[in-house]
Amino acid sequence: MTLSLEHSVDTKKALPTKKKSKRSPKARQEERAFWIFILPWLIGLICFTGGPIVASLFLSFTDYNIVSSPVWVGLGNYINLFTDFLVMKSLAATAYYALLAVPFTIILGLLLAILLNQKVKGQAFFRTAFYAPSIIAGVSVAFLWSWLLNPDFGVVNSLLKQVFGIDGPNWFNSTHWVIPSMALMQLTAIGGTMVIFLASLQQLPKELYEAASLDGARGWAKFIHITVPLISPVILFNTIIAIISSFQVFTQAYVITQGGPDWHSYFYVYYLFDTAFSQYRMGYASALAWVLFIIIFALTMLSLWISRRLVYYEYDNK
Amino acid sequence: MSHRLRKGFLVSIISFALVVSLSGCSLSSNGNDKVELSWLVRADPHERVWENQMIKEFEKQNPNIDIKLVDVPQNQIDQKMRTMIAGKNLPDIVAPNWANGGFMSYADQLVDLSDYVKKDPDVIDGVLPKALNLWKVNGELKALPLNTLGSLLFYNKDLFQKAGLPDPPTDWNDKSWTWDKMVSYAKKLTDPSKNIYGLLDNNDPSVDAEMFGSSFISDESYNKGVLLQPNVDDPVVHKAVKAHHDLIFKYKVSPSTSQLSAISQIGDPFVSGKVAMTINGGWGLWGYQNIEDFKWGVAALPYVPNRQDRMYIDIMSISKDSKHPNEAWKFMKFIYSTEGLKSYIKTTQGPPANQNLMDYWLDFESKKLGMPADKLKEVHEGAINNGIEAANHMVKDWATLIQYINQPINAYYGGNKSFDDAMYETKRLLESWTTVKK
Repeated sequence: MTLSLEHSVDTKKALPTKKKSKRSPKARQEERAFWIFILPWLIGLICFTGGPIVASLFLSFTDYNIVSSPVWVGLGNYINLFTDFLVMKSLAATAYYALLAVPFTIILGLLLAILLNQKVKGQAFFRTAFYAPSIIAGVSVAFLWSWLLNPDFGVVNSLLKQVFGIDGPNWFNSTHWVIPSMALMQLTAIGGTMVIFLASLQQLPKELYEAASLDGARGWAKFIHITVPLISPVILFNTIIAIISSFQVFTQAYVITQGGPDWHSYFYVYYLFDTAFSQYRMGYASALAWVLFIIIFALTMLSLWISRRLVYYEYDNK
Repeated sequence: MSHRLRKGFLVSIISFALVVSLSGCSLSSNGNDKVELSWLVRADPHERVWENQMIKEFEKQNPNIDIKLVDVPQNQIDQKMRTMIAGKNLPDIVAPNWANGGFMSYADQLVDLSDYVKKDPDVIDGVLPKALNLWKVNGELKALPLNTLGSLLFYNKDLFQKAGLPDPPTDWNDKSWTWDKMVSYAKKLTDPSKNIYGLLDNNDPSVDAEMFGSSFISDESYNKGVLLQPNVDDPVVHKAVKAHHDLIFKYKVSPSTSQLSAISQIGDPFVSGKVAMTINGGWGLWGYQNIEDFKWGVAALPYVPNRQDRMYIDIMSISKDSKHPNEAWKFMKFIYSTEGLKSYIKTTQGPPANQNLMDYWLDFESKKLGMPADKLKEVHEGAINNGIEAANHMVKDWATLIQYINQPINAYYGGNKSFDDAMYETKRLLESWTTVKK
């Protein structure tokens, strides 16, 4: 009680002094400039991101086909999700893809970054060459892969036949191989992951490695006991980003397989897209989108929780 | 900045904004009482030539009317139309069958043309009743047919000659040309050493079912334009699906789903000479004209009791949002005039729905194809007489329904699913759609 009285007295005392404090014209001018420059972005955020997010939450509780007004259905759309055969199919396809693509992206991205961190001749060229494919548009990459993995004329199957004497699989046309094929496509998309790993590797203090060498540690031991712990926050970051993008996978299935064969590449976002822009069931599509958001959010939280004991933050020990 | 300067700056900005916003408004009538009509078309280069001709001629004859083309790629028309309907600015003249949703999805957005047609009966004089009556909903005529296309069998004459086979008939009443006979031809034409398949049935399973005289959806569903009841358990549907499967696995005369996807990557398998016969829409007549490596011919689909081939009709309508329906009708009349349709035939090669122009088309097209006009007439008319209008035009939500049919049954055709599983899943998915609120 005493404290709060004192506090209120203090506030009252402070107010007049606050009123009196005048900012300089330059400070006000800077503030005005700040608002003018940030205004387009703020308008964009409110109108084109925030607005649709709020609208989609509202629409997820309605039946809405664009042409007629939305009709309130309460939790109807969310309840229907649980009995929808295609929700289960698409979630299973997406989860399977994530299960293959996330470790593949992380492991390969890290290995590539380690290789590109070596001081060899043509280092800049290799870095550019390995990063370049990741800036090519997704549709072009999808077409490229559909050719590479063509069962009859593709380079991959020809090599398998000529070098190893084995008949390659049907890749995108096989229910067993379609998801591994799409995970394999990550080979041309790991540039971003690789660059982040590379940047973190370049920050590692050399003295730790020198000290470890003096203690007799060799390459593998140094990697496991120095490199991995030091870049563990980056591994976590890349893992979370990979999980998010895996659950949003769409382009390759849309371009190459149209969700087939037998729904095996009918990813969750593909179903969401069809529901919204082929069936025009915007309410149900919004519910699908919110469920995807919850799944991704939950997986991110789970990753952070699991990582508590696995990730080493240098600043904790300072 | 001085006060005066600031004021001047503000006035300039507001004036500029007003000019920009006002000039950006699409006024359908301008100050000179000039009417502007919009015409939603698909971005097709051949049709674009005809559309430009129509606009140029019409505007010359009607200087008070301007026509603006709203050119949208065909696969985006559905989305465009939906958003335009929501914004109540659907173009004055539309072709609903160019949208994936098809006529039935947009029928309630279209003007009843009955009164216009009563006033100007010449517009439909000679139009095939079968092609006209399809667009009557609850007694209201919602569209006029522009062309009529059926499905045909295209074959590689060179491969037929090499195999010592006679040309298949153009007569649809020739009952000796059966499914089994077509398969026997396909066996002789298949050459595994050259990766050549005897037959490619380009039809999706729903068209196969029609070819055998049935459908994946009940007759009532087709007639009412909305899925009420699946018809997957019909033995004829089963027979059709198994017949397609047999082409791949029993007779080995057709490529499997994966083989087809592989050989299609180097282009249309018929054009690349990888298949000797193909069942396709009538557009093959002009689509295959550029083939130089071999001679090709066209024939009737094989005889099957109660056979139906899929018919594809392009239509034009006036939208309910039109502020100038009378002027829109004037333009429709112009398009459907003898001169308008002749121009359409010359630029697109499409067979007209109007029978008064059939001889003109036969003469023009037979010369293009190097085929006797009577044979072309026989094969085209047979396709129309046996035809049933495409379900994607006549049944709402067909894009979804065909996906529910294609995915499981293509898995069966690809050897990834058993027949029973594929049919069970198709039925289950179609049934689930009957309960979905749309």
